[in-house]
Amino acid sequence: MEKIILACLLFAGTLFAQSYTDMLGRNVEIGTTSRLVFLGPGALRLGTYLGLNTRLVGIEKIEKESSFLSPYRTFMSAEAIDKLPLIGPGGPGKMPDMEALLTLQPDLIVTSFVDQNQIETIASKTHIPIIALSYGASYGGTEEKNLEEVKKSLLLLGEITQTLPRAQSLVAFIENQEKTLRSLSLEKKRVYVGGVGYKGVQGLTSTEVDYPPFALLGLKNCVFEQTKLKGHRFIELEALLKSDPEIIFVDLFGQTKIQEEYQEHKALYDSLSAYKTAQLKTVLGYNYYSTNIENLFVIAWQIASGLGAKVEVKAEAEKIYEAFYPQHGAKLLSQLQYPPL
Amino acid sequence: MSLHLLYRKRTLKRFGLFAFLSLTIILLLWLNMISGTGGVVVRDTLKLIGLEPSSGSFSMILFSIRLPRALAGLLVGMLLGLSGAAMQGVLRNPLASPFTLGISQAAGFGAAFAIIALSASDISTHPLWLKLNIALFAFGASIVCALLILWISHFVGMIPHTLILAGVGLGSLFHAGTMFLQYFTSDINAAATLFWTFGDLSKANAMTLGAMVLFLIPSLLYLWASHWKFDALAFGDENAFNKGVEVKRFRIGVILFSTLCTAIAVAFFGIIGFIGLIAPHAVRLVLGSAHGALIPLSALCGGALLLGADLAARMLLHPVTLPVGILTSFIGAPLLLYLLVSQGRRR
Repeated sequence: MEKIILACLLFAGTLFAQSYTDMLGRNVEIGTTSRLVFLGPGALRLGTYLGLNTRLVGIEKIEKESSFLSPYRTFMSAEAIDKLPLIGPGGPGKMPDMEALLTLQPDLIVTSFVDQNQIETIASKTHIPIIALSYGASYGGTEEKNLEEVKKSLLLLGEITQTLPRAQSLVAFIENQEKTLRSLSLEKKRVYVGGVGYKGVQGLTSTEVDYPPFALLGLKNCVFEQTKLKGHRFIELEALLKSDPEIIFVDLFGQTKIQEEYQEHKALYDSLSAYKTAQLKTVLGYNYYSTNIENLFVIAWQIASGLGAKVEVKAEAEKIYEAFYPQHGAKLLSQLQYPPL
Repeated sequence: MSLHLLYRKRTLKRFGLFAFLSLTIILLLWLNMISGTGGVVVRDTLKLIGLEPSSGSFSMILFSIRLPRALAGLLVGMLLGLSGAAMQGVLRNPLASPFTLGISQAAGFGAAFAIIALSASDISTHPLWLKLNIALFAFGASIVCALLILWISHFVGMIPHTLILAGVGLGSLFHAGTMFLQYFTSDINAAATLFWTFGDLSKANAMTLGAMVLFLIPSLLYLWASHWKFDALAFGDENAFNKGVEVKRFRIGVILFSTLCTAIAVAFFGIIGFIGLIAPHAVRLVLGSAHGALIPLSALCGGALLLGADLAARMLLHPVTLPVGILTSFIGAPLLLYLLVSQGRRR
């Protein structure tokens, strides 16, 4: 009897299956989506924004490590996550545990930052629908602007999982933020961001060429003013000394490392204008298992405030968190214990 | 002891090792079939032999994951063991292996090139091309490496140590090429390249298994049939020539066959080090250097070793799975050092 019901359900699933094109241009047939798993850096974050964490049936090991640098992990309650069975170690490049996937039989596997060859291998081994989302150019996407890819990914995931209204309202909020931030008038100063997390904690020379919070405000990373490079880069300290930014923004993730570096090379760092004039400003953590989109906007507001715009960063941060985590924003922000905004 | 008795003892020893390796392989295959995410579940044996009804997901796990993986372990191990035995025989050097000849590094470079450079250009979107481009490039690069070694040796004399030195040189060159590509590529491609080099058997499917069998059988037959040539070579090139071996041609033939064996295994599953080095040594320790037994038994020993290593890689840190390439290097590197030291002492 059980087998008949299962067969009926499977048949019904195929009847209602619809074809979607994912962010890597693959066509995938997807039926129901009540049981989900997320693979790769950032996939679960986008799912959590849409409230899909309640449909999780398995989780990567890495996602169980809570950190204040990762708002979505703090948001998902520890008890709920702890009970979930593991589907693999997690982390870029690593293959999931395919036996676990076959045992759990989720309706859909959502990935980001997973190589297409790996996606095809997982699909052929498990026969479970698998879709790829994208965080943009820095992370294997094709679009120039990272945020465009994120918005498209949110809408695609919303459509597939019947949470389109939620995705649309979040994308509308993101677009509204982009518009407001672009309209701010700021002091013209040479700016740089250092300590951006990249495969772990990094120092002052770890930066983003087209750092999205800068891009949102129409600013350019002063070390890369003349280039058309993209994404994350490690630079020579010499290049930083030559560009000599007036303000250096320091990612919270790399803050301690940068302080250690400063203790080691005091004289060298003190020759930088930003160090001389104490224009080192800490901003929230940008990357942690891919980009924290909510923090990206808070950082933009922090930078705007650092460049003389009359803005209430704390109020804006609460608004942003409320939009990304409806009804839990303010509580989550206080839980994260960030330095005063 | 009479010659007849000695001969009988040797045959018995060979048969004994053959039986031991075959039984080990059967045991390991069985263990591989019943171990997975849930650990080693002995009860699953009943499901395996049909005494207990198995659920759909169990048979899917068995046929889609465990069986291809175990067969891949066996075949890759056999290919690498065979290739190692042949290379050590033809180059008269106990340190010769696909790894020390740079063939694995070349495959790594080929894969990195396919992952990094090809993903940036849209040569073709045909699904078969997308599926096979990495394997094709890895395979191609290995063959190019072997041909380069032979070409260089052509100028400086086809003697074993020049072949090995050329291999070491080319190996570092290809490794440098991989690092160069990795440094400039995006995070996702760098990670994919890195994980490719770790060597992972979970990618196995019917096509890769079939391709390996197609390479294994002719290579095994050719190398086994040439066992007397290897034996003759063991006493020097001149001795082999006097016994009717065309040394240069034979050397080229063996290097090409061994490269094909390594290249096909590495192309599909990434770099799995040291099996090619350990397997022939293990057999030699028991049976001595007669290639009539060494060649086929090295293949069997390689298969058993890799099957065992893969099982250990999955079960040692359970539920965390190690890529098998890391584990084989852990076992193989100390053995390589031991060989170096013991050889030094003998001198």
